[in-house]
Amino acid sequence: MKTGCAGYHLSRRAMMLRGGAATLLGMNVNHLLAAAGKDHQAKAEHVILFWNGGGMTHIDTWDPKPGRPTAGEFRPIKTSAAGVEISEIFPLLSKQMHHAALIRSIAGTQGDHGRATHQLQTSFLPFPNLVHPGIGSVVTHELPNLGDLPAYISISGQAPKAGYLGQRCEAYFVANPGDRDPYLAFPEGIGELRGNKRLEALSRFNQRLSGKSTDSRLKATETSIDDAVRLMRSPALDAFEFSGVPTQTMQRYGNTPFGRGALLAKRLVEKGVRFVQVNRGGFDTHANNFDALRDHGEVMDPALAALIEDLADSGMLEKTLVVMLSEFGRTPNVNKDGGRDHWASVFSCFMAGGGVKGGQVIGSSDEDGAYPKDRPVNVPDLHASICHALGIDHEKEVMTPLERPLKLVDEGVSISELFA
Amino acid sequence: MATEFVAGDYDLRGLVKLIVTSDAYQRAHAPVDIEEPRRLQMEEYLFATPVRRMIAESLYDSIVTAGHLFEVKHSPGRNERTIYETVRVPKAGAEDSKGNVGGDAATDVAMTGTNAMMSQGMSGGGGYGLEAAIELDFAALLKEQEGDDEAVALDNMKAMSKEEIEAQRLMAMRNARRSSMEYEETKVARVIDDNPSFSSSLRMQSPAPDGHFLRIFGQPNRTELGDLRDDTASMRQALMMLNGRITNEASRVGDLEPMYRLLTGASVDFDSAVKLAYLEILTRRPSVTELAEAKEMLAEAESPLIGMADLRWVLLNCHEFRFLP
Repeated sequence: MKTGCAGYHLSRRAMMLRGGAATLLGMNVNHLLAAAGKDHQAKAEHVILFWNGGGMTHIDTWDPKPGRPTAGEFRPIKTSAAGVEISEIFPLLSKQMHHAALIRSIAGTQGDHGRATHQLQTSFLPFPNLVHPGIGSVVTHELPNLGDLPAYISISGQAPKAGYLGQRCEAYFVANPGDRDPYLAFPEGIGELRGNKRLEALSRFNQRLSGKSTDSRLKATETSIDDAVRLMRSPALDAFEFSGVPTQTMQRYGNTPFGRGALLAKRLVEKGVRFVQVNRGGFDTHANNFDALRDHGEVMDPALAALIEDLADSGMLEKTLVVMLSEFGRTPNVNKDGGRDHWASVFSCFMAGGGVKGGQVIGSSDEDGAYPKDRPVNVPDLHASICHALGIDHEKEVMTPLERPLKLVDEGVSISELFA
Repeated sequence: MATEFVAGDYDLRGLVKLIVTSDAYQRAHAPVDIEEPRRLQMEEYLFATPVRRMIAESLYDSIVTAGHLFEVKHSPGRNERTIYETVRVPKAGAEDSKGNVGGDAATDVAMTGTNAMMSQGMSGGGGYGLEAAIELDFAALLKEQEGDDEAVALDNMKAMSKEEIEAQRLMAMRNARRSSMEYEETKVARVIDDNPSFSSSLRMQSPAPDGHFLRIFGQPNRTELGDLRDDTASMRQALMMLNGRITNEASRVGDLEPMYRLLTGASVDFDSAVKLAYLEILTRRPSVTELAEAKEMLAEAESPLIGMADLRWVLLNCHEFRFLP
């Protein structure tokens, strides 16, 4: 699958060639960047977004409040980043925090799951007659594809829709990481030879109609078939197949759906996938918050730690932005059921790689974790920052099908301290 | 027509049938081989309906109809296959905290696939759940709910807020973990007669779940006003049509459908078989060249049945099927 932008169909190889030729012609840097779909020089090429649905408590994860009545059951632990402490539910991840930045002062405005999810995933507030694209669709719309695989892949759940950016910026959906996807091969009982013969005949039949027509929809359908066949035949499909993965690696990620999702995300960005979203729910902890979070820690900790470590070891972390987001935080007060309720006034997020300066904390919440204390960050600032990391001009305007101009990100400002 | 309507005791269904089976209704808007500029002109002056892609529901139902998939088309036993399921069963002899003996808890067998959407139709479907006809049980839905304990409990569930349900779920999760009941995973082999049958999209919940065939082909999810039907092409659609179960099953020739007799046995008639395929899928007869081409496909294939499956697969996937008129 290519990106939605005609003319951006550049492979990495083509980019290199074009770069070489450009120096000969004496093109300036801006022209070079434009050729690669970029607005400014940026390190990140890929994004892995972990979406924690339900609203993950900030105090029990990234923003501990030891000694305060709101602290809850968990103690903070020291990390590999000097002066940065996170919750004890992340013992393995704490050793990787020198690669990561935490933002502890996100000033959310939406306390309802639907509205907040919409804003955190798209940067826009819901608007009745618009379907805003998720940040993954924005990225795939702006940057050329780097391989045979779909540019945008959503794992273990659906990513937001591409809305006015069109079908071609929709995420490719993988239900269960590691499972065989039947749609990527000929149907059961149809061999390679027979399948290819069918495709040849189909192309012949289709040409008969499209050959004498100017209808662009026919061509678009043929292109979608070509894209599908290219994907089916791509050696890069190995990335989906876990049979060759050593058991030890699987264990390091924690052999859970989430761990397998993280592992698949790593394998996909290595094959050139631009944007991978890994979805997981169960964070709406109105009751038994601490038991639930302990369970979440057991699942998230090995997966995230192994992912960051592996990406750093292979050098991929430099060009892969890893982000973990949730729609809001949870109340500083613990309720009668041992739970925490919705709290949008302040919450945190985790970012690593892709040019993000590791080992730092941006902003802070007040002593109880109730409101931002300094450097409040607005939700769209996160999306602006993701765009900035990738070299995308987040203020660029796109037209909806009804010719309404809209910015890629809703009035966000990139968080400059994030980047080295 | 009015007279007929009155004579038929105001039978609307009969009236509709009369209209759609009439010669006038069945005529093409424009000649099949019309030049494009002329057709566009006719469209502009509303003499002909503009060419459009079938909407998701029509496409689904058309494949099911053309492929004889509303009812089983293979004799029993012809589609038997062994499937392997991973099931979680309590370890024999283990007791949970409430004193239930685990050994007899065979009813507690749970599919390990947790994705509700995918688990439907997964068994035997080989992961093709995204095309399943997720049929609503209208009889059950319309059943009187009075005195029905289960239904009342369900209503109470609905009265709870999302948060309460989530809290309950988390609690149940904890309790399950805490109980001393031990489970083990085992692979169970089961032979099923995987005889395909699909239902009309009319009988499915609307909108269909995310990622379902209907949604991939543009069915809106109706949560927002701006969520309009999308009829643009995508790679996902192509993969679903090329490799999906529904097209594959619609293409296969079953021994219970009329086509079978034209391809096997004493009265083999390839000409009629090809004509039938064209009529069933494209609702027209093949041209002389098309007939020759199709017969060649039948002759070249391992068997006429396989050749016909290939021909039907191509017809179901081609532009002419998907784009109307």
